[in-house]
Amino acid sequence: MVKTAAFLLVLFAASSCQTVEPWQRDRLSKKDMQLVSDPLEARRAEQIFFSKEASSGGAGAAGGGCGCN
Amino acid sequence: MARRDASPLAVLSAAALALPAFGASQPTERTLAVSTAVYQEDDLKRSNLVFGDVERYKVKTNQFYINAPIGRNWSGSLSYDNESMSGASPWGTSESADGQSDVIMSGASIDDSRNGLDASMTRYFDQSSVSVSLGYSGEHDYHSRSIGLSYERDFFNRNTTLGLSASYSTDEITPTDAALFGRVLYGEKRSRSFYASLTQLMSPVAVLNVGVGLTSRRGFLSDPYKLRDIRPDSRLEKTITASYRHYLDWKQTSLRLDYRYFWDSFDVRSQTVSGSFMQSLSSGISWGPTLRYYAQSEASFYQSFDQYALPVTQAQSSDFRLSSYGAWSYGIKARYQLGAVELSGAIERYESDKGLGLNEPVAGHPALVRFGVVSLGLEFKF
Repeated sequence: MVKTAAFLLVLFAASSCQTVEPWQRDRLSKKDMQLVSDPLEARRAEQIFFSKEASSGGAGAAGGGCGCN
Repeated sequence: MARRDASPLAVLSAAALALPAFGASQPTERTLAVSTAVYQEDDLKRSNLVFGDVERYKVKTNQFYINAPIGRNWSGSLSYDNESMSGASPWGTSESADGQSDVIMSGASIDDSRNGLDASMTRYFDQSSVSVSLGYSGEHDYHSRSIGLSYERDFFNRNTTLGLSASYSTDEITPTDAALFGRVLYGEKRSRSFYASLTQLMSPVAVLNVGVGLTSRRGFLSDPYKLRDIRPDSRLEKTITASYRHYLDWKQTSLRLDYRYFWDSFDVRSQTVSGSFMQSLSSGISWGPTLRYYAQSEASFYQSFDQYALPVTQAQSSDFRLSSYGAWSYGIKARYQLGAVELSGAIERYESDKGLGLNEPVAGHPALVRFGVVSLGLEFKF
């Protein structure tokens, strides 16, 4: 876990960020560049994996559960 | 002398800043979307069946979503899901003659439905936003209610966004046929969840997001429909996530990569890596493949088959979802843009395997799931 956290921190810090001006963001605003590009698909996938795997979360604070089998 | 803020560049900048790209910005248009999907699990192998039906779950899902700006500083969204479930699910396991696990299934008469509703309101400030959300999920034997609060704050000319969120939920279960099968009559669970993330624009074509999550669940965490399922009454879950998006100009393609590391107080650890790309073609069609890898270790109290000699005060479960296994899922999706309307479709296949798990498997669980999902969607922006 510590190694994973360290890796992500290094990745974040070492990345060659540049200031992105507002008029340069047309491609960043495209639908498939969003963190969640399709809210319905994301909800459906989250529900399936929540009910079939032991792991969940990682996409914001968790909401309520279900009695899924 | 001309005023600088009246220049075309300033006007363009102000308009571009309003783009809903990662910042705490109010949406510029209304989005209405509907979707329908069919989820179908493969049948259980008859050779692994002790009792019950081999025909496993089928779920039909219909979804609705609307998101709209309200006034100058607000937006609201509403999501509704309806699921119809049918088929059989694993009740328990027993040891076969050769020392492996066999499965005791329910009958295929399970017929249930679930309705989920989530609503949120967001208030936008100069460089931040605050959202409140309410959620409800209901089945005939299960009810869940949640409330959430989230905050986003932009820094460095909206190149960096900090996100903080918290939620609280209560779940209640009243199992069917409780008296007939000796199940618990009522169970309650309370969950508290916190999440923090940082989103950084890396370049005009790349963005990185990292996040940490913490969820505490307390109360009745067992599965009352299993014949022998006794779990600890608290669970602490932690996640570390990273998401990367990159736009490839030369192919007009968006590349999406996501990673999650999960670990909890049940001693379950998991790694999830998913990737996809969507390529835009000149005819208004976008398409691309999706790929996801998942691997988990088994819970500390996992048993390969139900052990009735163990005391009921000892945590134990033979639920395949707590075993060591992994899974590949792969699929393809496509979209067609026609003016303000977008049609979409996707096919996905999920195949789990004990050999992909993070532990050395003692005995693979025969109920490990394999399924397919087919979905169709329609989105309208106005």
